[in-house]
Amino acid sequence: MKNEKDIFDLLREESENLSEAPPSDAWQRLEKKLTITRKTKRKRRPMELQLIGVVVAVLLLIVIGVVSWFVTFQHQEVIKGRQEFAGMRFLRGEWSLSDNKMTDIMVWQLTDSLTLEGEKSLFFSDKLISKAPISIKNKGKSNILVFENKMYLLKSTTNDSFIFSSEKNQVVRLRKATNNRFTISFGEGIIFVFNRKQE
Amino acid sequence: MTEYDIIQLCIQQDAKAQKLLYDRYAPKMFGVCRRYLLNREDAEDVLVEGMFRVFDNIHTYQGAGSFEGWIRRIIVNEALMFLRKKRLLTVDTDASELQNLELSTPLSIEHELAAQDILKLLERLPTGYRTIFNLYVIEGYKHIEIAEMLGISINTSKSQLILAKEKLKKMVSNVHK
Repeated sequence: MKNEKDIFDLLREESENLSEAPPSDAWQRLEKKLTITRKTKRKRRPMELQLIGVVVAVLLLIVIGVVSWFVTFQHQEVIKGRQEFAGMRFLRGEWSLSDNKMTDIMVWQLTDSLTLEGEKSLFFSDKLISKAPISIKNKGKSNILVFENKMYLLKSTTNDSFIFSSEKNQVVRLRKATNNRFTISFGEGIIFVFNRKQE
Repeated sequence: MTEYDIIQLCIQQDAKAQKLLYDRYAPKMFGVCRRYLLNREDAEDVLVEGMFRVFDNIHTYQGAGSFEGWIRRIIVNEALMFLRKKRLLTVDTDASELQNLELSTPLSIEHELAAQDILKLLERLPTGYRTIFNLYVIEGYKHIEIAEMLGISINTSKSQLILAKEKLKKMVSNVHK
């Protein structure tokens, strides 16, 4: 049995040499698929850039989160501060000037009989907001307007007129007031109209 | 251009290098496909999909082992996937047929019978037998690997191989008569 060989050994050996020309359109089909992939891969950003993008996005989210938390925390502190301001009620909502130039306005309404006098410093959220000589006694109808970090006291004189006084003893007159709108004048020439923003 | 150069260019999606690589290996790989799939169109589909996978994953080729072997493994896997998808791969085990079945006589053949002829005989084997025969005898996979690849038991793989060899042996002896 010299010339005989195991059929499987022969097959294994011969299979190495076995080849068959594939149909010509096989390459065309493959090329079409490869072209699509080439375009897609070219559009794809390098791995490093993608990684940097992800890291930046995560950092940005963290920063936004921390800032939002801080702002919210501060806001809560302010609200708390406002509520703790004895004898006064913060009129919730933001106020703005009619020309929308000023928004940093807070309006307080006296709720109890309150006497503010002398050079009593008023702090708001640990921040000094007025060192003005103040003297006012009121029973509910007066307002305190804090505006550009200065405080003005509004004193009811008649139904539609109030008097503001600042640390400079500037006289401010409230011309008209409704729930959502009031007009004040400083001296004779300057008139401000405040609108309450809708909550 | 060396094989290494071609591979490097293919990693960079170079179209000419891809064609060069295809021309170099497609005939051999088509031969592999034909051993698993009787239908020429099916074999072509597998070749196209397999070679696409080769190009798509060429950056993962580490250089360990021959590049041809690496391509061949992808093509074989693609062929198996195709068979599974088309439900052509049914590996039945007839327990009664297997009892005391062993290759008592060595399967020998004279050199005159060309490998091509043997492959033609292979084509006449049921898909399950042929697949296991191909994987074990030609590709050199172990039964444990075949069992894992086809989702069958090791014993089924072994018995299918024995049955395949038996059938082949009968066919060869008929050719000689």
